[in-house]
Amino acid sequence: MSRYLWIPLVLVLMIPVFVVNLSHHTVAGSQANGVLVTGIQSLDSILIAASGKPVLMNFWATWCGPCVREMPLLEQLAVETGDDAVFIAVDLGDPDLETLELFRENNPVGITVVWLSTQEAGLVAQRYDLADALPMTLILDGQGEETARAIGARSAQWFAAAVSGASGEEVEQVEEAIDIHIYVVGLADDEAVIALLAEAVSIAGDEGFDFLDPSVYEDSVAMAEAYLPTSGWPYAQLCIGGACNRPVGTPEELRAAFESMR
Amino acid sequence: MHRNRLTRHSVLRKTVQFASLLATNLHLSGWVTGNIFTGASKVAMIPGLHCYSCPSSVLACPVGSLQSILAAPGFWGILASGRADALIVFAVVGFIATVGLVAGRFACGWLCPFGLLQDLLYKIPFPRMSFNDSLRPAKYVMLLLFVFGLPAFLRPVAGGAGDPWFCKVVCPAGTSLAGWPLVSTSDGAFQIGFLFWWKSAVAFVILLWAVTVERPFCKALCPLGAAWGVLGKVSVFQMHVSDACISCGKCGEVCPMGIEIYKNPGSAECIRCGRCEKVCPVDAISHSIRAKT
Repeated sequence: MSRYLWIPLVLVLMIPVFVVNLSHHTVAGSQANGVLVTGIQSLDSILIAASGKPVLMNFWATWCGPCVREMPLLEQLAVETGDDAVFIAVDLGDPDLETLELFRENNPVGITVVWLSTQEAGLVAQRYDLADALPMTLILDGQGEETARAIGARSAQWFAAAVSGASGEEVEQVEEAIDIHIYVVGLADDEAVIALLAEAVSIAGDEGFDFLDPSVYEDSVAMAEAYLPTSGWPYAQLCIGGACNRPVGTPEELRAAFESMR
Repeated sequence: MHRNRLTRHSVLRKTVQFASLLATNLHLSGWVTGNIFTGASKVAMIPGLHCYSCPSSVLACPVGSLQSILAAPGFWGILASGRADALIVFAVVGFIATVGLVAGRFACGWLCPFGLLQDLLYKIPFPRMSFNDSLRPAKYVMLLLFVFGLPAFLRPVAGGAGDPWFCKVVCPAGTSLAGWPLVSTSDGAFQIGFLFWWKSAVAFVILLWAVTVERPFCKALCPLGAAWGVLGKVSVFQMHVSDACISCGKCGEVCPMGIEIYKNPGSAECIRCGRCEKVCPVDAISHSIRAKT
């Protein structure tokens, strides 16, 4: 037995190989879902593998209504484009992987999804100089150079032009009109909600906001349709040109979000 | 007289080892800024185990380079297509093979920074332990499985990248000289997770082992030593034991690899440090740069 002590030594060192392989990278999804991978290393692996092809990198989160609404456009374009381009949906707004997995069970995402932890999301945002708003889309050419970027949701025409290799100026000509909209969510008699509403009106005007009370059935349905979270606390979510900020809880934060996205 | 010879030889060897360490770590400011050196010299490799991500390293580790290339997405496909980013694997293998065919494990004894670290740790006064020779074959598994097999063939996502498994779960040089320094910076802190704690435990055990046993990592786990040991069987640099040998065993007492060279001059474990030559009372041990016939 003592002649073979090297075997248990090797087996012990194999433990993390099994642990990592069983737990990391690929997470099971439904058949309609594309691959779900996690971590910056996985994102970089995909980008390296895509070398030579244009890459559409869409930054999104499950709570971002415009992100979710434009996702089918990306999936359709990915099918039409086939192997000529690589589509990646980078989730950098959901702190928990479970949230994303639950979302995909009910809303399959056909393109490759990369989930990043909050810390990794910060590093990626720094790497690509991303604004604090979702959705955002970056187009990289075959050499990895950025050719176009969009803050906010875009049309199918914009995405098609962007991945077709059109120049940045040509892509910008497909730009849509920019409008401001604010969702204020909370109970009607809550003082914090009243303060948020006052700030929302001062920013977006009388027509530029929606007030939704989660205790009212119709409003809760509208929240679900707009992918607004039921947080248990009053909040406001600012959207400009289809790009939505994270939900904020105070008028000051709402004003700061508006200033940062202008 | 032989003791003096051994002392002078030890001073010479330490000087060469420290010179190698210094030449590999010229980017000393990296320890302050926490940034990895990315200059042109990083394409060259050190004949030894030293992490590419060590903040001061200006050279690449051959073991890490090999795994990184093998783990590239679609490696076998791009190798078949003749792309340079895959063909470079032959340059890395060629480098390792050349060093081994010239001098076997000479680089382990004279140039490897992690070998030096183990030598220094063994100087700490501490109760000594014996080394179980049955652990030695593990390094061949490290080479074949962790450096070649797993990075080249294990793909968590079909078509995706593999992982440099030796670096990722074993290498104590990477953990101690790159992992620990880099996670201490704010940019690296996010990498603390299961693998970090695993590798820290492995590195801690090996470093502690090196205090009680001379060069345990070289003996049991080093894949580079495994490759050079095998190539050393046919290398230009060879050790020889003449008929004058009286089998006194003094060579075995000073051998950092714990071998008795008079029984097997061509041992794959020999790191060509030369201590046995200096301590031999009848000068029966010698080396040559051409195999004797």
